[in-house]
Amino acid sequence: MSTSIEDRLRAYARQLDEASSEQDVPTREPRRRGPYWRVGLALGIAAAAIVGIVVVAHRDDTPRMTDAPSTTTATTTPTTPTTTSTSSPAVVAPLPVDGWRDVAPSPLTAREDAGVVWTGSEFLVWGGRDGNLMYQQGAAYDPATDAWRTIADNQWAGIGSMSVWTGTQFVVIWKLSGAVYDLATDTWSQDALASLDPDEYGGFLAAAWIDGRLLALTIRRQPGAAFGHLAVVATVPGDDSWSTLAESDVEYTPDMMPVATPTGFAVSRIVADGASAQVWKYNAEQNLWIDRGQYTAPEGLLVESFLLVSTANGWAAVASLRNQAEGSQPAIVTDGGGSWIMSSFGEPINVTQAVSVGDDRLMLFGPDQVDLVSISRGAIVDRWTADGFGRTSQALSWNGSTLFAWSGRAGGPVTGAGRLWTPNDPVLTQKIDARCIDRTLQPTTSPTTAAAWDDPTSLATVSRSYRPASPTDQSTALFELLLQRLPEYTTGSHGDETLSAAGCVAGRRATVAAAGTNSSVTVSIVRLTEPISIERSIAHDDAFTRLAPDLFVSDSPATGNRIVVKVLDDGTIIDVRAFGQDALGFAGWPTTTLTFDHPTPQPPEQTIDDLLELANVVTDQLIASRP
Amino acid sequence: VAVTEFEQFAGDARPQLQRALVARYGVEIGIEATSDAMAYAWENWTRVGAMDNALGYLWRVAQTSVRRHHRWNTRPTYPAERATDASDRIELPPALWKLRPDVRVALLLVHGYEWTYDEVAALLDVPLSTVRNHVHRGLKKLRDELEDR
Repeated sequence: MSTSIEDRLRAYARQLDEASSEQDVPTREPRRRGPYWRVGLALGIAAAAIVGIVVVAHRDDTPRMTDAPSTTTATTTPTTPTTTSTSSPAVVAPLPVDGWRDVAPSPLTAREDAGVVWTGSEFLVWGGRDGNLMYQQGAAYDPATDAWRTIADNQWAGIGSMSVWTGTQFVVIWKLSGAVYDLATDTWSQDALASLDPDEYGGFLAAAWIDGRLLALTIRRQPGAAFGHLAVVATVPGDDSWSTLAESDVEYTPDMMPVATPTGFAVSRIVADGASAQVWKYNAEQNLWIDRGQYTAPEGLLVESFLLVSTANGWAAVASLRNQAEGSQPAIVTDGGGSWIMSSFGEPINVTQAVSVGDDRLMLFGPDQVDLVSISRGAIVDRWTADGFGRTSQALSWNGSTLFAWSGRAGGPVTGAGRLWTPNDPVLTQKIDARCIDRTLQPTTSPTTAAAWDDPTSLATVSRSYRPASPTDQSTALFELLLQRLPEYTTGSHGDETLSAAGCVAGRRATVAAAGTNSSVTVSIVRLTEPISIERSIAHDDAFTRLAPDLFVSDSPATGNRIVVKVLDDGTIIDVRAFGQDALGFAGWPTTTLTFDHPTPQPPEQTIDDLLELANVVTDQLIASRP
Repeated sequence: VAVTEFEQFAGDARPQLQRALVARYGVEIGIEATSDAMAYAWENWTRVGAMDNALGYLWRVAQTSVRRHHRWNTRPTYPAERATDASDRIELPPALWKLRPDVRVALLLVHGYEWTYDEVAALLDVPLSTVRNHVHRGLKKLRDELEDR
């Protein structure tokens, strides 16, 4: 007998009650992640962050129940919006929404799975395929001149071929042997590389140049075994043989994923029941195979995919964890990290390629989008979703400052287009990240967010918002500045900007209001405490226009709000909001879709120019107050 | 006296508001928004306590609070459905969270928590007929989603 929808709704309502009551009681001990891992994660964050927080908050932007629209006039002198502010020389930083540029058209045919290495001055592209058609050509791209040149052809190219840069030579290995390309003479040496004995080895799985030797991960055949054991062999161009460095006791299976890392190799496999992923690694310095053990998915989840990526510190894995209710969710595992870093990537994406771009950054490629994520925080830094931006099976290489991405499949067809990405986000990658609040820290005795914000050496933990916004010296100064600039506004409040586990901001805020009206102006000075895109941090219900790389404005007739958001080069965000009256007669609510009779939303008295000027004045005061 | 009045009010209103907000925004945001709204009620009790429809007012206050979570891109969280009689049936929560928010709120409050249509209409500040339509359409969509496949 099946249960009716109404019965299921009643039962599910009880479940919601239970989940709510669980989360209502914060505790110091992190809770175990259950099947509802998002809730569990949030509880863990809250538990690590708060203890006994008073459930009182000071809300400056709450609605005011008065009928009269604002009659207050601004006293500031309007100015023309400018792309750069002369009064705030610190405003220079571009935001991390760009960073990509197209490379010149390549002389090579569009293809998938081409190899690429960085030679120190050029990206050398080699091989690739179109279906079963193997390309045995290559070309070199110079990012400094945006120019390509073709290189000599060679027979060593095919599915599974690997490209390695030795520091002076380009080596291609495939199946059991390979060839060496000399950059200076544009010639290939077909016999410079010894062949593996096919009776003893099963072919190359990965290759790397480490400590003056070409190391290759291969399969050491075992009598009676389908494949054999994982083993590492080494040679140098010109030698007449490969030597076996270390044979593991791990039986190779075709579902393994190998990757070359700066220190050796890593190999992963999803355990048959999907409950965990197993990782082994080879350390070249110690000439040692290490069983990194199994990474078991949190309860209720299964490991759907486990994509190994070479990083500066070894390896990381981008995984997709799945449960029945919520579908797939991304997560990250790192070498040395014992547990999953559950991500806040947003909507799950089908990650087909990933590359390390900096110490704590991965660029993830899927068919529909590209994500830049922070490894340590499992947080998205930026995302590109424009049509055709997503790409799979492309040639990818990070040279330490620039990511080269060429060809591959864009949606349906194979494309010959290439792109370069240079991180132009000093705001996020350097400044904010350096002060980012670490969710793994233990609770401090005084998690004063404003103090954390003002003291770059302080890493306070995130509190969970249910506390009064405490006035601080900084917020008092901001409040007094607003009272001085807007003399008709005689009341208001101020305090440190409260944080929540999901809040991602720290700073201070002040609001001034005209007594007896809806009109109010709020200024917040905050930093993001998570490395998320500033554009993503802006309210979704206000339509923003980007006037300059560091300047956003919103003049929304629907909400009756006018907003200016300005970003300083150290990551500080100055958010100036003037609230008018929305369709319910309140200030700044997103409740404008009512179909029955309500007042027409009214904008605030302040113009965008007024708010820009106020933002500049606040910027000046902020800069002047800094040591 | 005000404290006692507030405590009485909060004792009744808080769970109701929380249920409505959790239905609207999921567990995590719903709880935070409830706390924010109740904190606002405490700070402004003289005014809020005199209102005819204080719960509806706090529902709006909570929506202002929720803007912050949207602003910082928080996603709704909700638990998976506990298995009962048929382990292979289609999960209710994803279907529920695909409904329009007001429809979901009305449906959960009426059928999950046994609110009257009048109570839901007062909370949402919409006509009674709208609530009726929400519940009717919501049930139909859930049936289409969960029973017809």
